[in-house]
Amino acid sequence: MINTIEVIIRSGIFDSIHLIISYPRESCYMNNKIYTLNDKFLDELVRTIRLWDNEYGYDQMIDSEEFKVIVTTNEKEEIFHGKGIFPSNYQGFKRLLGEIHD
Amino acid sequence: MIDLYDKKLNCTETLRDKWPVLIDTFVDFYGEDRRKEIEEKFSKALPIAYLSIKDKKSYLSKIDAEISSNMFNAMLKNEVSNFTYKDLLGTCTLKNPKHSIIDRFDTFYNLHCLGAEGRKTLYKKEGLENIQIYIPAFTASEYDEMVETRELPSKYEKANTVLRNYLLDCSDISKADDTYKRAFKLISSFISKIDPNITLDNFDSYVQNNEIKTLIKYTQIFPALLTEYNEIMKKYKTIQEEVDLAAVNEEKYQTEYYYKLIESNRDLLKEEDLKLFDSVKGELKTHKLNKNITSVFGSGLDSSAGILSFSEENNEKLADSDASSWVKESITNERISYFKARGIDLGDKYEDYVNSPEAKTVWPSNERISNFQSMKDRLKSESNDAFYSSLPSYIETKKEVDALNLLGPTSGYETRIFKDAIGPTYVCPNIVKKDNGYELFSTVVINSGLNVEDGVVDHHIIHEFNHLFELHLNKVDDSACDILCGWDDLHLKMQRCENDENEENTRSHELFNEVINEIITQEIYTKMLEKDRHVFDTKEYAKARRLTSYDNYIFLVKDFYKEFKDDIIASRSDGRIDIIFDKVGKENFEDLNQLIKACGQNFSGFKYLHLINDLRNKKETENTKKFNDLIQKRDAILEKMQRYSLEHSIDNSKISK
Repeated sequence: MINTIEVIIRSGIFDSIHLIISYPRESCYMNNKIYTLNDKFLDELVRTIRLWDNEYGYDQMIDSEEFKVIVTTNEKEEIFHGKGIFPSNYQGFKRLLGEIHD
Repeated sequence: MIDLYDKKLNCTETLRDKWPVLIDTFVDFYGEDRRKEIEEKFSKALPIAYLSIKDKKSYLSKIDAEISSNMFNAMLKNEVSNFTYKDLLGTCTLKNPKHSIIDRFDTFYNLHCLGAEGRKTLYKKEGLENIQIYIPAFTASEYDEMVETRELPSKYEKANTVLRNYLLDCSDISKADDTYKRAFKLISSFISKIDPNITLDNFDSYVQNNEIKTLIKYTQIFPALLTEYNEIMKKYKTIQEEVDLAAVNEEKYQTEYYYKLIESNRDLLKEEDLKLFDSVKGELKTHKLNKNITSVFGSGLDSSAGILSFSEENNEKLADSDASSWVKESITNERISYFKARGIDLGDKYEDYVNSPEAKTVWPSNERISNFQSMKDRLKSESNDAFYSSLPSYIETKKEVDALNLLGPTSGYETRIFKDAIGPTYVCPNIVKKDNGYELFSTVVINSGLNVEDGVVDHHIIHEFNHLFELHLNKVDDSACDILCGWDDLHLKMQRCENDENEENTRSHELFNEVINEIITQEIYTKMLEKDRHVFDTKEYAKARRLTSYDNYIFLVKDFYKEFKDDIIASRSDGRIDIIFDKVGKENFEDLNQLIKACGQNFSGFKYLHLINDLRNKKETENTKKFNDLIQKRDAILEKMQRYSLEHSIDNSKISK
């Protein structure tokens, strides 16, 4: 069972998304605000990241976008990371995060 | 603020126009003797400032609100009255004053002035025009006769009921005053605040009332005001058109190509779901599709499709004993939803489906899955292409970038920046071929859409331009090049190869480099503010501190920078990392580098916020222990650096003697 999912996206030189989802309360804290999430969103989020590699590597740009997703369970902590190099469904992931709003 | 919004909407031009300001600012910091070098470095870059479509929309709306408010308030100021913008325009702007009090009063008063007979004439005129929209051959005499007799012309007696009723309705002049009455009703609550005794019947006797008189005057001035407003807003027409087009096109293409995916895989849907799909596929919105359809295809091209949960990669995860339980659970749940969508409901135990011959009948073959995946990828890419090729500003800059013939794996001008909620700001170093060999040429991409009140864009520009100034081409051949940016080593391949991905991070000083770059940026930017120089930000909001994610690390290098500033700057701007190695010792330098990396690993994301919280509350936690450890190590490293520097300078002085 997942305890938390943390997402950190650094867009160039500033933190653009800083999100933590705590289970089973299924609410999230994003950029200093609390939002409620539904099961559909959480299922889709997990489906989106479940086949991701742990490390996508680094590009050769300066201040390029970097993402880090940390999934914590009782057993372990898994980290997915990339800087300038992203999973093929990364835009879908960003679009999904964009659905979190008031 | 309009000037500022204008600058943002024309951001690339603004940035390029401010070239001399940026050069002077860097000369102030690095010295007049380096002016030529600064000019040359900056000339080898294409600056691209951008706004996402969402930001463009937001700035246009701010401009509309401000111009509306300025113009309308100026009109109010010229007349003595107690009316405010809010009273008369409410939440409307001059872009669309429909439904505002002034617009409604205007409609009412025009009808009022026409008098009963005039309203009948108007009703007849509009009645005939409305009929002629559907029946252009309908004549004025046919219409007059219908008004008189209240009977349909014989040739329309056999028309359907809807048309017959429409014709009769348009010619029923007893309804001529209905519109007039409705118009009064819409302003009645506002009018009653002026005087609760005003009614439709006695309105004439109030025409001389001061406030009603002023309102009437406003309605007379209002059309000219709207014309003037539209004239001013003409300069934003192209941007407005792009925003409007993008709003329609993004959804249109996404839906259109998603429907293509379903259409090409109709056999995956049950009959009743197919009927539903066929009934909604002409619509732009996908929300009417049911769970069965989205369980198989996902809720859009970006979303996860149930059929793909049967892919080889997913099979491997299920078979992998090291794979996490949340991964396996997600796969089996998605598959169960898929089976249910295909009409096979055996409950919520995955094993029951695996062992069921019935479930096997809808289990997709590897070939089917692979074809589906390829088709989805292709449609996604086609949808993206269709969207971006409809954005004039994207196309224009893309042409400019393409004309540079950059040799690196990416130009740095990426489509995603137009869609992101908060787009990035970065430098993409690159190479061009010249007659006498290769040359550095970079793109600098600046997100200028950030809030005016945050006052951060100029700071970000300085941060990126200092990177530009510190770029050095160290080695180049036909296949790759080595670039040094300050202390950050970049290795650029001329073409992207398949196995380029998942490469180890070879940029061992990247974070250290960024933190120092940020300190230098803050110094340069402070000087820029002292001289009251600005690109996008205003004096009022501009800030020089705590604006980037690198600020969190400054506490580790602040004293190091202060102590060895001259050597740090010389080594970075001359592209010679050996200068700082010689000054503080390579080993000590690398120790500080490791400390910054450790800080990044220990205090990224929420861990940093927890640390701040613990420090504020003076709690002793695992976090504060790690933090104190970092501080101790930092101080110890600095001491070693100072000692090294001292011994080294003594050695040097002995040598020189």
